[in-house]
Amino acid sequence: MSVASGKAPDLVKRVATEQSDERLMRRYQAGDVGAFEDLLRRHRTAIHAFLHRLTCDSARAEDLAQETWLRIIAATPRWQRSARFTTWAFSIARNLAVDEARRAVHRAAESLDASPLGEAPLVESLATEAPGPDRGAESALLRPKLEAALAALPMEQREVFVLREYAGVPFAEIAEITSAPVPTVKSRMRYALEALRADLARRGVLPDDAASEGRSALP
Amino acid sequence: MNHEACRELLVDLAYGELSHRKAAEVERHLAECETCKVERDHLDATVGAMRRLEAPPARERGEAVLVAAARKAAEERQRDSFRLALSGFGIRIAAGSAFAMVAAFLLVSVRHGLRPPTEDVVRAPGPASSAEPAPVAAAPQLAPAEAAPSLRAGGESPSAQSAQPGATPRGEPSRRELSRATAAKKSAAPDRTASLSAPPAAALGHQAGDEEGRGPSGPQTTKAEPPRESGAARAPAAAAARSETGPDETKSAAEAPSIVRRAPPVAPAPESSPSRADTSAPLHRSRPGPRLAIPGGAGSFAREIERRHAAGELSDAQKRFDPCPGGDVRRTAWIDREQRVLKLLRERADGTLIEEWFDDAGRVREALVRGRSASGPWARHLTIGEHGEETVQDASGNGLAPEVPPPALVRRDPAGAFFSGPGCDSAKRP
Repeated sequence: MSVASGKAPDLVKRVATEQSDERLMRRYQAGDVGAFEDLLRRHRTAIHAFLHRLTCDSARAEDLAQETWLRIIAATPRWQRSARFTTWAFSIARNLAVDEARRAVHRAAESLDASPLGEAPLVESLATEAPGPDRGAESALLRPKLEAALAALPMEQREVFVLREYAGVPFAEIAEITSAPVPTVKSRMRYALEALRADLARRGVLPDDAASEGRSALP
Repeated sequence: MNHEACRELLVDLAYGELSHRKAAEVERHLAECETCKVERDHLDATVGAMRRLEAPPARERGEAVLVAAARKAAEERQRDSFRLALSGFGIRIAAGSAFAMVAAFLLVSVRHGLRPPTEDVVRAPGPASSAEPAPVAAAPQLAPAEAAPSLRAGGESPSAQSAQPGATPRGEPSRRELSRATAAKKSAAPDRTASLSAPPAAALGHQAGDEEGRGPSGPQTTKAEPPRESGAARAPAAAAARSETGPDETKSAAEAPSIVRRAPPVAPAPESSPSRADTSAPLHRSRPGPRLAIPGGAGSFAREIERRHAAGELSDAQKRFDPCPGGDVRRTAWIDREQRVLKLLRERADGTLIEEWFDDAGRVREALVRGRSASGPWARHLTIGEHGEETVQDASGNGLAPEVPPPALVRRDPAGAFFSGPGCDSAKRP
């Protein structure tokens, strides 16, 4: 299976990397700021990308990423050496994003003009950001559709998909991050994949038959 | 394996989260089941499509802010941990000190009238040092008793000592002159240091012992009043005596926390070997933050700082290093509320101890450097004037001098010195 074989080396690399993440964290706990800088450089992009895909809002993701790192700094004394750094960091980021999304829903309820996270207007707005033919590249055409499909996922499915697919976090750790049982996490992942397939088929990214078959096939 | 079980595992298979055995089992089913195979292909297609979504770039802005925040937090944590680690110890020591102060004060009051209790802090006897802790004011009579064992070399007054052949540290004739000049200066026109210590002169065990009590009458009183031995009386010359009494004294110091803080041995008292293992062991018994009486007599800076530490006004910080030639193995800093280091204690790999007391501007004003040569322990007490002028005394009272030049003092910036590297020979200074 191509996907599986392609992920195996990443897993090995990730395990090796994260062992040193914990060492860096211990060093920072002991006062070594250079170790924190290493952690920041190593995970800044991943945490930002996670938040960006989760919130579908670049500016908000920037703010949340910054806040995540500040929380990491503040909570460093409480970090337990047995904890995996990435799990801990993504938990902080995810909780911030969830809180932010809840506040956004409240804000949207107060303003008819605003669109809550993941609702159709946002999807449409992302979809209409599609670049014109002059930009040429296929990826440039594809990207808004993929972003729109991702944004259309319910929050609990989107966070599982983003963590597993883009951040490379195993299901067991996602369960820790989201405080959900592992089977629930896997179910959400299946639902997310099914919804994405259907959405991408509607947008012409995937063949229609795949979408229809998949919808009926997946639980 | 049925369809349902296979579909349950397709996501795990896609992300490599199945064991080899389970993955092989699923693959076998997929090879035989067209429905599940189509399902797997759809899943792969979806994942493959979504994988083309590139990661949004993270802007560089804010990174410097985060690093600065991390640095600030780390510094605060370090300060807090110093305080936390040492406050508990400080509380215990402060309680012990307070008890000893009260006891000493009461005894002094009863026997000799009221005296400033703060002056007794450094020299107050520990509970295990004597069944009857004698008041400091008894020094004129008691000091000789205490000093008796050491009088062979350093029991006399500074002037007498300097006049005695052989009492002069080798290769340091000028120090004798300085010592004499200091004694004369103190008796005639006290400088700032002397004036501060002058009022409680009678109460100051070490001064009384050094300049008065350890006079000619010493040997006669030695046997007359042995039970009145006390930490107070012991302080002036006890160090030299202790180096001979050795294990018993150091053992009691190790067993009694207050003594550990107040009067650890002037120098370790190993049987013979000057090796680091031998010399460092007794020193380490006094951990942490040993409170060390100054055999040659404390100046106002040392005394005031010791008093503040005993009163719990100062925090301690410690740093340890792996032993290296010429380097420190441990540093202790006493820090006031304004984060100024007022005392720095350095213990070197060869057993040498350097205590330095600093003024508010971070300038060293008083120092006690102690070590052990092949002939025995040596000690040098230095006072440094406002303009850097030094007065050096042989504080061990036995005339011994270091075989190699003693380590350089930290003249300024004790905080920087505390946080610097161990100062091995290649690095010269801490």
